[in-house]
Amino acid sequence: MEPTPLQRALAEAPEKTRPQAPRPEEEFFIFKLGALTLAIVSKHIREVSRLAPLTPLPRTPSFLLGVVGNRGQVMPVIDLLRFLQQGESKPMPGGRLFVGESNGLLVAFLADHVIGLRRIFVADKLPPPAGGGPAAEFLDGLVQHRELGSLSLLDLPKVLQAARASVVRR
Amino acid sequence: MSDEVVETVEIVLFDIAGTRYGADMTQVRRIGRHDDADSVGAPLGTPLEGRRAIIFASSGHHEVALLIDGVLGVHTVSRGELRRLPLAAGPSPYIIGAWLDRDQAVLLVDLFATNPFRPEASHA
Repeated sequence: MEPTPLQRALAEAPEKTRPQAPRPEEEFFIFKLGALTLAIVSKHIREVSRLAPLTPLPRTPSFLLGVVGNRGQVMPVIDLLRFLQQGESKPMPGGRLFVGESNGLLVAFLADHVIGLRRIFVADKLPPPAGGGPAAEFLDGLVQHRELGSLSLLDLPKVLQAARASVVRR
Repeated sequence: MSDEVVETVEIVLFDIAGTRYGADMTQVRRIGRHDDADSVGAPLGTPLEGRRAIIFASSGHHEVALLIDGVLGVHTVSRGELRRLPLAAGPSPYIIGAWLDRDQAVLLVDLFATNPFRPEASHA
C-alpha cells in the first residue's frame, strides 16, 4: 500500500528538535520625546524619575536646562530635542525624566512618555540614514518595531561626550 | 588656613529673575542699592528690577555690587546639604556648588569670582 503523506513525513522526521542558533539581542530603554521614539541601550539607564524643580545654570548651552536635586544628588538636565536640533521640550513640574550614565557622567534627560524596556534583535538594526541632519551623528541605527513603529537608537555615550565637550568649551 | 572641618555655613539667599542663588555670608559686606558701587554686570543673568545689590569687596579692593531683585534671608546650612557641581554641568568660574533645599538645587556663587575688576580677572 502506498504510504500516506503523513507516514512519509514521519519517516523523514528528525529524532529530536534541531537546536537553532540563538539570535543575539539587546535590551533597550524606549521613550517618546516630541515626534521621536528613541531607544537607548538599557545598561546606560540608571533610573526613571519625576522632574524636581529645575534650577537654570547661567551661561550654558540651551540644551542644558539646568540642575535638579535627585535623591540627594545634584544632576544636570539635558533636553535631547534641543541637543539634536529637533525642536525643544517644555519641562513641566512633575514631568518624566530618566538618568543616563556613561564614563562616570550622570545626566538626567527629559522624556514626554516612558514606554519601557524592550529586547531588540541586533540583526534588525538598520544603519542611520545618510545625510540625516545633526541628529544622525548621534544615532546608532534605526529599527522598525512591530509594536512601536520606527525607533531611533541613540548612542548615549556619544551624546554625553559631545554635550560635555560643548559645555566645557563655553 | 584652618584645617578644622566646617560643619555649617551661613549663606545669603537672593533672587535674580525668579531664580534663587546663595553666597557665603562672609563675602558679603552689606546689602545696598543698585547705585551704591560699581556693578559687576549680570554674570548670573539680568535681574527683573535690579534695584537691590549685594555689596562685596575682596581684601584690598574697592566695593562692587552684584545687582539682584531681592534678598530672601540668611540660612545656616549644614555641610551635608552642600554639593559640588557635577562634571557634566561644566566648569563655571563663579558657580561653586549647590545647596540642596529638599529637592531643589540652589546654586552657590563665589562673589569674588564675579568681580571683573579684580586683578586676576584682567589677566584671565
